[in-house]
Amino acid sequence: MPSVQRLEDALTGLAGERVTGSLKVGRAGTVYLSGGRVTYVESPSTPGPRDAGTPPGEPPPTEGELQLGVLGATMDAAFFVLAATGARHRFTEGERHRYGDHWYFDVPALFQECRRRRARLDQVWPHPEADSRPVLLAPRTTAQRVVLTPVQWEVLLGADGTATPLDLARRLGRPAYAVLLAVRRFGAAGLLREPPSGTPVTGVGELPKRAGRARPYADRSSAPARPPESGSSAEAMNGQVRAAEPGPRSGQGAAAQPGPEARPGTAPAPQAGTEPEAERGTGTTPGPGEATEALPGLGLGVPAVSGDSTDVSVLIRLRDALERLL
Amino acid sequence: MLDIEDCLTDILAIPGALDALVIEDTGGTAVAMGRASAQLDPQAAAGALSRTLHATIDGLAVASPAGTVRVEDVIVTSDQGHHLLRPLETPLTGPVLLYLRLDLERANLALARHRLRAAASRLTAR
Repeated sequence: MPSVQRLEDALTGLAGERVTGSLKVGRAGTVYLSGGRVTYVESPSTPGPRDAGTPPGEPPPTEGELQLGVLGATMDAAFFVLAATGARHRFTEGERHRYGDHWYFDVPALFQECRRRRARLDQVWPHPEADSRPVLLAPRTTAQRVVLTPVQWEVLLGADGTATPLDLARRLGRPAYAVLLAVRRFGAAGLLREPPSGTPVTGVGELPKRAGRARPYADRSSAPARPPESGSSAEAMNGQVRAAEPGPRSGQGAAAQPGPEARPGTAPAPQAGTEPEAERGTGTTPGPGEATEALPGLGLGVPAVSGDSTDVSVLIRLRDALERLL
Repeated sequence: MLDIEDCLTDILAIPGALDALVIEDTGGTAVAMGRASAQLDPQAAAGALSRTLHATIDGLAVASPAGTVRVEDVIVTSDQGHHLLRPLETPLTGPVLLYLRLDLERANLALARHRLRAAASRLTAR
């Protein structure tokens, strides 16, 4: 299988051939198919259902629990594995996951779900850089009251200034996507602290994503957040869904469509294509230095101020960060 | 012991049941649905119901003397029926929501609530 093939094309092809086997996606993880439908996705970045914890001595899980566990773990892992770009794919005919088949996901629905989840993160707080850098919580808040979700509570206790959201997800045994969401919510609530001024690299590099009108970087080329193409694929996460009929409306409306940077067909900036693989695909946590290397040619370190919208965004963010420190 | 499909079948057997959804709460994703009216988009509904539950929980947490709250279920009556939402903690994965919409005329709300709870507990065998 040519490694240059897009993962979505590769999986769509395998689904069309109704194959059974496993597709290894570089170091990002593995997709298991049965009869052309996805039965499981695993990723080293995300905890599987076992890691999410059946305490010893508990009765064995019921079929319902197994199904729910496989469902949750697969959608969590798919969010990272299906976003991997530039990874080599290797298909192994006939290989099945040791959990067996408990649930079936249609390939297009799984991709659509991943796009929807990514859009939802940006809806909460449009700062993708928060997904990969250490979680730094503000020491104080001006809010009179803060309401936390249980995952936020655990993140709050677990954040040690060096752990990234994916590190925390592994430590807490929580779905990685739930931790990303918790951290974005902290950001939206003004409870995140900016990284120290010595390491603004990731943030600066990521900024064009937010201010991306003028310069659409292909940061999400891995999971191009296209508008839903058809309502029917959104209807069913799996073949068992008893949708009465696949209504024609996609229904997600604006909610499913993230910011302007996610338009399909925008020319991918070549240098940005390596980045999601670096930070999401492998689950490594790029330090500031590595991030610099992953984002060449963006004028890192000292941004050249030219008054364009990107620089203005940098200044606004710096100002916000300084105000938060006061 | 029930799987998700059996659980849905049980829920839809509740007198007056109109729509039912099983929702993965972390992503707000519909994982299974039953007998939905043709106009219902399960994915849009799942996301919206997940937000509804969390908005309710947030509001009740602030309004509670303790400042925290553990919601067992949410019941809203509208012109479209009775809406029941039940969050479900499962040991192997994140939270799951069960949603049931009931006919205003035909449903017995107390019975439906009891049977939804029973279906939920059989799904996780707790």
